[in-house]
Amino acid sequence: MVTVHKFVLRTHPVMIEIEFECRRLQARDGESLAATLTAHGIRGFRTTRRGAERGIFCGMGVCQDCLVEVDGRANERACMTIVDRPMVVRRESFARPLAPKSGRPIASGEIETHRPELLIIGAGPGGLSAAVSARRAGCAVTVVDERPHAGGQYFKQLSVHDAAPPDAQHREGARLIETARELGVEFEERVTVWGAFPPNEFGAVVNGRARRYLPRATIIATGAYERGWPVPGWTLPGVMTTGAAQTLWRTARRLPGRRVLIAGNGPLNLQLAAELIGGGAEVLAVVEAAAKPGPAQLPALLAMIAAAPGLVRDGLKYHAKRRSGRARMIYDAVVTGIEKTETGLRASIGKEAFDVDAVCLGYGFEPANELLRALGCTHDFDHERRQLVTRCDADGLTDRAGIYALGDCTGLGGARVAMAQGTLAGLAAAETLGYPIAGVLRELREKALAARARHRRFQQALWQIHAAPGWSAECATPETLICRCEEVSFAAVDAALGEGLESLGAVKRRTRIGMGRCQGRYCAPILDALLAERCGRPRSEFSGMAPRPPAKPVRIGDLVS
Amino acid sequence: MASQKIIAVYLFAKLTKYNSGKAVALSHGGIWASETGGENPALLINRPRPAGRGSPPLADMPEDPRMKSRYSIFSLARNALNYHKDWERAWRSPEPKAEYDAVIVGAGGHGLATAYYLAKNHKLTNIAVVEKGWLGGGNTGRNTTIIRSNYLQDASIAIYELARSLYEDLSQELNFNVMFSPRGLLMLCQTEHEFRALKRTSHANRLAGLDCRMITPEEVKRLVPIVNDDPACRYPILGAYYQPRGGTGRHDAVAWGYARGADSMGVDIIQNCEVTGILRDGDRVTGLETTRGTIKTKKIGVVTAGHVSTVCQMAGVRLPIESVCLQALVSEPIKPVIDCVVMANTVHGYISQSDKGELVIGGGADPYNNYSQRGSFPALEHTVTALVETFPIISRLRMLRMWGGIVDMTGDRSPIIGLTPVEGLYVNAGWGTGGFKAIPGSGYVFADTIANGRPHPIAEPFGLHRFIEGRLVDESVAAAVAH
Repeated sequence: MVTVHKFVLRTHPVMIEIEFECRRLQARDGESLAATLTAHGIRGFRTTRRGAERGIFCGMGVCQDCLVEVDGRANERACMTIVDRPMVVRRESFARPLAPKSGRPIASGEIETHRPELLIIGAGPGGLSAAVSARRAGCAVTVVDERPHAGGQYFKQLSVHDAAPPDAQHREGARLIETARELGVEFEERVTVWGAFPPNEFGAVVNGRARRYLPRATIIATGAYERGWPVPGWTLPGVMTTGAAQTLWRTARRLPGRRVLIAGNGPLNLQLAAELIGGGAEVLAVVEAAAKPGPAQLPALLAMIAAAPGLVRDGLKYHAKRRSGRARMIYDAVVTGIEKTETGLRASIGKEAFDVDAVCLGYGFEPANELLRALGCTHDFDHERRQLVTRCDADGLTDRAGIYALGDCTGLGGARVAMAQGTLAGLAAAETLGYPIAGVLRELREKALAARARHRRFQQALWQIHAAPGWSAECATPETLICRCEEVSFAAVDAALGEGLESLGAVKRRTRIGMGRCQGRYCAPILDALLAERCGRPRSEFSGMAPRPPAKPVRIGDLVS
Repeated sequence: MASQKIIAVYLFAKLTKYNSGKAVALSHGGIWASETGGENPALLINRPRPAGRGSPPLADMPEDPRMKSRYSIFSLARNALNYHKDWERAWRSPEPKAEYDAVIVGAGGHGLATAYYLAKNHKLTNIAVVEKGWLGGGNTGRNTTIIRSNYLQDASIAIYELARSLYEDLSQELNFNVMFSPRGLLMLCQTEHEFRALKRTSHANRLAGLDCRMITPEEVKRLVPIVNDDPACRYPILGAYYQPRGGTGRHDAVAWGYARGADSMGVDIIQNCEVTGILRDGDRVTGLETTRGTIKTKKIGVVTAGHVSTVCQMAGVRLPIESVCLQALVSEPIKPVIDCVVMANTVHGYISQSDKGELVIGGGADPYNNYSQRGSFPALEHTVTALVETFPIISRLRMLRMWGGIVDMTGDRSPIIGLTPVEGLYVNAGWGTGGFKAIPGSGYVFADTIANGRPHPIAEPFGLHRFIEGRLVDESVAAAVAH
């Protein structure tokens, strides 16, 4: 099944032929391998230790579920592999054998060391804004990002050419990136920062080579990733995060499937629905965990309009698009289970069932704070938003000298807040490094302060309207996997908790939960919440898993060569 | 018997979930460790294997109403009928009593083994093990599980070989599968100097009766096909020192097995109970202050590895110990590529493959004192650079996890076992980078030391007095890890 949409018919992107398990597939130059496979109806990319099929889930390189073999290299993430040449791709299986005598002896030597004046990790809206403002103050800025294109998860730049025209959000991002480039900000792409070591040292891998960063000051803007939502069937191929589906569409103009169900909490799901409908998909319903807004939410709505009328207008547009696509809006409901059928997936919302090709789950975000925590920055647990929040001053300076943090990795606040924070942190970092802030820069700071306050008000009102309960044990059955990587079921976790284990470390030792490739990103917050509930104690900075390198698995040879 | 075993293994694999903490020991063996007593070190090292194996092991266990039901093929089958839902707890979670005959601080392998042997060999059952976090959560659960005994000095050989030989039958003894795997251990010779040093060790070990020998580069390549045998490389393989009965065990299972055994004899294992002070009456201990209340006792055994200095400081005892972080990492799982343990001491790294398929890689210690339980960049860089040169295959594998443990190092890299200037305060520490291999032996002699108030003959050379008298047991080379 090839998903065709109107843009393909209209235009002629450059195609590359790749081989997948003896099939020849037409890929668009520059799209991710995951996009190519999804567009050709291939859902299962690999099998796990227990023989279960897995495919694309997070779509942004953190869940490590979409592993395939590319040109003989094992366990490559399909979502992070860019198709820029013909390649031979195979499905991955658990613990595949290595060919004898494979590997390469390396020439030992000193690791390449970069000493940028200001290092910004993450080229999303926050990181870009910080780069622009710091550069304006005169500071030399290096921005690193794991992806081949700057823009991050919000601006998600198109990686294929000629497939479809960019939209307003693309264009805004492109302008910001262009501004940064014109100012002389140095961009380093495909840089995976795998470790942070106090006081201010970072280990990275760039194109298979090790690199060490020893910056004078650092701004960490690593954003967020989608929260896990363990329900029966959430690990099936075709079930992906809202962000993953949006990445397929916004970067490669590929659809996650023809018939799609979107379930979650928050406005991103609505935006995805509008985008997929615009791309020709049939969105059956948008399932929102929060209750339908009523008169009681009016003050919050007014506050949103007052703070950011443009964003409210966008929201209304998305709703209009959803209606035009005949997608139902179901409030106050969550996905209760997903099962595999002969033709695709069947998702249940209470008693109702939907037959679809893809299910998108978007139940909020977790801050990607692993580097900040590894550096020893103090965090506080925000019980309302159920996440760790980095302790920062008004400019974004953490309690570690020379380490600034901003955006969603310090606690969720959305792109607009991140951009305002970026401007402030960039200026503050530049000032600390000896560049005076005066004149127009001072004005910039005032504007950013006002924007940050305004968008924080907007966010507060937005989440009042979208207030919904978090994941609870009732969502899972005993067989539901809590830990995707190590395939630890709810029953196994439940049994361990029943034995009187009181700390996450002890449960980890007992069940292997959180010991897999994703480094516990999806299971640790859930287990932490469960433990806190069972033991009757609050979650805290130290109740979760300890931060530890590697932030993402990296090849051993690449660490030193 | 053999066919029964095969069936049992098959059923075991079928019926249990992999990695369950309730693993089952399969064959019934006699508990010969207790038969030899523990008076003569030489007897312990070279004792013959007991002929009468298969005697009912329950006879050695005290009659206690709390005695755990035995793990067996029958209990496994019985529980399989109930979907494994009715297994009883392997150990209790008791509230601390007001007073104990002895309290062990630290529920790691050494502490739990000490409690086990105190109860079993010395009939001291009114004792407790207090633990700040959870059982086996410190270095016991953080090491690379290497078991060997090829140390240089006679005193070291005695205790490490006692431990290694106890490991041989530990699964039967504890009725808990500790997955001891004597898969063979190689210490590579990559310089002329190392070759000569290990040759000297081999002579010393063979005089002491250890089953060890030097092997040629060809044999090394045969045993470890993934080793880089290019004679032109920076550190070529000149040979290796081989201990065929060295190997690995499952670290958690050792802690769990000893915990279950001790608990079944009435020992209270109290987790989430941090010691905050040691009570003294003049020159003798009278009890402990903990986060779960005061516990009175006349005998305290401190077995807290990296934090031993801080705990002993509470009683005013300073120890000649430095704490540093030692780190390790594992790769992603792959099909078996290495079926023995290889230590490359010149380049400071060692490697083995776990049952799950992950390569377990250990490196050198941090070059500065610290209490950090996470890896540092320079140590990782050093370990990986060297190991990739010796084992090029690992360069293609991803590093999946990396962690650190706080190891307690003495100046001569040998442990401290015995009495302290404070009466009733006993210490078992300083195992540094190689404590896991010593757990059974360490617990065995330390229990004897606590019970009798004098050092066990095997522990005698490892007393604190050696630092005053200058009679060091120098194992800097044989300890193998870069310090």
